[in-house]
Amino acid sequence: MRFSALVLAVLPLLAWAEPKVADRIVATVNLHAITRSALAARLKPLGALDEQKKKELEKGTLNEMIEELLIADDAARLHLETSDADVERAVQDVASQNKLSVEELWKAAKEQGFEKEEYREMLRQKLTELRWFQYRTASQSRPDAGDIGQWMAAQRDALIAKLKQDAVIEVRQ
Amino acid sequence: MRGAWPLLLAACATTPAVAPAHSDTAGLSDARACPTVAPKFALDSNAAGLWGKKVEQICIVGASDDTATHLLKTVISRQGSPLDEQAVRTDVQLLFVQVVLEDVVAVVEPLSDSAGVRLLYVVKEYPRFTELSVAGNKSVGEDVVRSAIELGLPANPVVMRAALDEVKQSYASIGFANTRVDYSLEPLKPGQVRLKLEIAEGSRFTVGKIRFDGAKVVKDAELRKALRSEVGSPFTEELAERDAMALNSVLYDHGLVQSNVSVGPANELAQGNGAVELVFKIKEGDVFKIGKLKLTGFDLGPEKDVFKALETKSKAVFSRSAVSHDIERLKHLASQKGATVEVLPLTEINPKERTIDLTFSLEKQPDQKIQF
Repeated sequence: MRFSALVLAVLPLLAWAEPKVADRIVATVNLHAITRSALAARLKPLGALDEQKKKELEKGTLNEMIEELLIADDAARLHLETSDADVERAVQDVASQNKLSVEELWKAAKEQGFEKEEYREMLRQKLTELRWFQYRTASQSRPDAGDIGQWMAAQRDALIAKLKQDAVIEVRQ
Repeated sequence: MRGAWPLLLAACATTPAVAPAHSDTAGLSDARACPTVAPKFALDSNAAGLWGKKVEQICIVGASDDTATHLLKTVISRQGSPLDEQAVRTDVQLLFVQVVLEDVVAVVEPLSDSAGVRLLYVVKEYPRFTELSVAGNKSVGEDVVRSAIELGLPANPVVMRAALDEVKQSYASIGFANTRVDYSLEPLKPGQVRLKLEIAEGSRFTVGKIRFDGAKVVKDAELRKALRSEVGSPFTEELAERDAMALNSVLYDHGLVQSNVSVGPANELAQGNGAVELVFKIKEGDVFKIGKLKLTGFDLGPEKDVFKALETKSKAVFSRSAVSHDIERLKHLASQKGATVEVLPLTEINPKERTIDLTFSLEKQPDQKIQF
């Protein structure tokens, strides 16, 4: 009895001493690795979620991250770059559109779980994607009337489908 | 593909797949030996309680000697520093981008004799293809296929795809537009495989006829001059795309600034023998003329005199080539005044009037001083 109690007391310590996974690859896109921690960081601002909802969001977010990497690769091939100055301008634009000072914007971003650098990188990615989209659809005639948003979504889907077809993508468990 | 994987491959000769682990010896003394095999760990475990602990040792487990030595140089986590989540994430990404690894798992192992931890990168290397066999090639010699494949590279799917694309490109350049190349890998010895290519050449196509569909403003003869494809030459999609871009440039020189040229499907002609009709689909749009013409920035003297020297004239049909030539002319005029300028052509399109207002913005560049 005393021996069992001793073993039980030591078990948590042994568990603590076991090697733990600090990070691992959950998906690859050509030569890019998406890691478990990068995926978790993207989901962090959403707060605590139930298991079912979390799985759904993980799947959707992972797909978003895959698409972002495909676009980033294609944009790099096309030499479409977003400079630090472009990002800073965008930061000021977002702040002024929300009637905030830049300092207040950083505070609001922090409250939503974004560090400054993460937020800047997110803006850089969005700006690059916008340039990429404009470049890739420059020769397409835009609809004069109707839903431009629908047209843009359809064009984006078609472009992504082509990029996926030409890429090596692997999603791991 | 040769020279396309410079990160690590040049330094890594073909080596056995299993080798002892390697440790980061930078900074601190390295009395502990790294484990030679990966410790057991649960893939869904996480190191939440270990962030910030001192990293006593960094090891690469599962890679060959040469590879591990180079991989250790790429990680940014440092012995003696606190265990950092962002640094570990970057390490995993940096290790994977080296092309040679199929998998990377960062594992943290608490140490029994210290409050610190050991950071292990448990990796799995791709085998390398050291031999090649080719089947199905009839029109292209095996030596041509072999010259497109560099032996000794890791069998990473991205590398494999690039290698197959090289082979397909060799075929496409001589008119085989639909060549399929499949591959399989045959194990030879640990860490080495034979790359087996199976080629389905498909048909060879030549240009039998060229047609411009939709050209009205610009005559066929002028368009034809811009092409590199010609009747009798091998049909290649790459050349056809390049020709479409060249045709667009011709249209831009005729004020057709909203024009678009695409390559239609290459239909095989009735004469057979792989001759296809190359169709360029042209949407010309309206002809635009130059509206207001302005100069801003660096002063080159009276505008009237400068405009006289330019090829672009107000009310004349817009020409992109003329604008390009004028940019060079303006730079030359500035240099005669002892200045170096950057010239930016700023355009404003007026669709209703079918005019383009053009402003040449001249920005004086700082004087270049040579320092000794």
